[in-house]
Amino acid sequence: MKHVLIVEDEANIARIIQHNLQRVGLDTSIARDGEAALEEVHVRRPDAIILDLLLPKADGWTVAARLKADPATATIPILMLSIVADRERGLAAGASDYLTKPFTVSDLLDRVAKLLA
Amino acid sequence: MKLSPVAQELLWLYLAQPDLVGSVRDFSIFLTRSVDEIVSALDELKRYDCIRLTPDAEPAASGVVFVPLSSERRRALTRALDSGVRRPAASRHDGFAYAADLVGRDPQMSAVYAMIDRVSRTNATVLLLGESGVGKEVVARTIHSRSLRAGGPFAIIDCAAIPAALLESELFGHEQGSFTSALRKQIGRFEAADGGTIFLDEIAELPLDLQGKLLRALQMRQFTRVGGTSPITVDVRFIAATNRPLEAMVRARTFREDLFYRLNVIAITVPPLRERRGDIPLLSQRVLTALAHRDGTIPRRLAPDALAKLKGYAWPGNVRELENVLERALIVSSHAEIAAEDIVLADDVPTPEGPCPPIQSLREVEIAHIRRVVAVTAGNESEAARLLGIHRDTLYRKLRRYNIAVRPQNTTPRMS
Repeated sequence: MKHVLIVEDEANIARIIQHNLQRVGLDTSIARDGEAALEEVHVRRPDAIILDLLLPKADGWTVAARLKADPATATIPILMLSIVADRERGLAAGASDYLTKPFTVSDLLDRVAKLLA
Repeated sequence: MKLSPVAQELLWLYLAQPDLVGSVRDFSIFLTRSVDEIVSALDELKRYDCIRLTPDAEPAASGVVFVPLSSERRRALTRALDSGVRRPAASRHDGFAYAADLVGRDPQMSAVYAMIDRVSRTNATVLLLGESGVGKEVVARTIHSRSLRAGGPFAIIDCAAIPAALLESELFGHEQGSFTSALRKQIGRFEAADGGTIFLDEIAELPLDLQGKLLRALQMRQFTRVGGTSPITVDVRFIAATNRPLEAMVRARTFREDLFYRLNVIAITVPPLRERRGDIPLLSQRVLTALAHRDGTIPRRLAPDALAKLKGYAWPGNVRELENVLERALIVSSHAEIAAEDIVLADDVPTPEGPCPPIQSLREVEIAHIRRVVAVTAGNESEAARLLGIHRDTLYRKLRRYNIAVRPQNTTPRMS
């Protein structure tokens, strides 16, 4: 079963994402801030990461930079999630895809499926 | 059923994208509305059973899920929206159109959003730059509505529209008897905007003598009424806008340098529409929605070829021009979908990525137009004058002044 790490500080949004990923048969875990995310990737190596950008402790940009700098995590595809439409910067920071909030569930699932393909 | 404008916006969003998910904060940013406005709009929508809310201790972090839409529900909601839009207060500037103008996901706009976000929380003076029609007033309103001053007034002063002679009294007010027609004491716009935001549009048109007075008001938050002696203190935030190159005006000494620096604390440049063509589909959709909302009808869609035509145009008049073009298209179009042929662009030559055609002076346009009409009428000056809607004598004068040669009718060579 493929595993997706959801990095999102808003508990409700994290739960909604989790619910929908589980519905399509994915295994999930949630990290509520940047530092927790960086720990969690080493606990269970996820197949993909959904990464919100505005996070407590370490923001999404920092998390992405650290993941990409570490050979052990550099290849995990990242889907960035943000209220700011800044796709170009996201892709430059190493994200495989970028989604602006609010988003549709179908759009999210399509993109996650692409990352896992 | 009466829905607030924000609830209507959310409902439209739902009808367009029925499985949208986000926090209250996400929707507040997407619709450029305050968190409180979104919360109370969601409250209104609850009774339609079209949303699921997962409340959070912090309202902004509450989750919003639009539930799947059955055709029956779609009809019910469209009806609800219909009855909502017919309320008398639903005008185009009821907040709907201005939120529509700020819609856009093009990367060009994200810098603007980020700046709006940052400056909204401060009291800093903001200078908005950008071509005419890009929506500078919209940005100013958004900053105001998302600031702590949102409950206070938002006063617009168009420095180009008020005659220079009246401007000072308009801005600062006047005391009784300070000039001939000043029968009563009158407070000015600055005083009226106490506790809110003053938006000084077309700031470059402010006469030099008033620039000095404005500078003082900016520095001290203090001014004197015309004919008055005691200074009046106000608590206002200033946002100024212009489409003219202020720096060049400073060099030419037509704009005060000290005022320029005072205004230029935070500058936000709103990009022209041709530099964010990616937003044209979304903007068009929102404009059509706003127009349908105004007219109490169901919004119409754009056919793919119509959208392609809009995307290929240079938009010298920016978002304002897009609104006008779409409004005209709605009137002429008789189909369910707006077709490319319904869309009339000022310059019907598409310029896919190129720069906008150079702006001509009125004189150049006039010369070119007279030449064209004279050519079309084959030298018949009476006919040319009739087409131009001017007197023959006026036409003669213009022909002489612009040195336009007219080929006389009767010397046209005949085939024999």
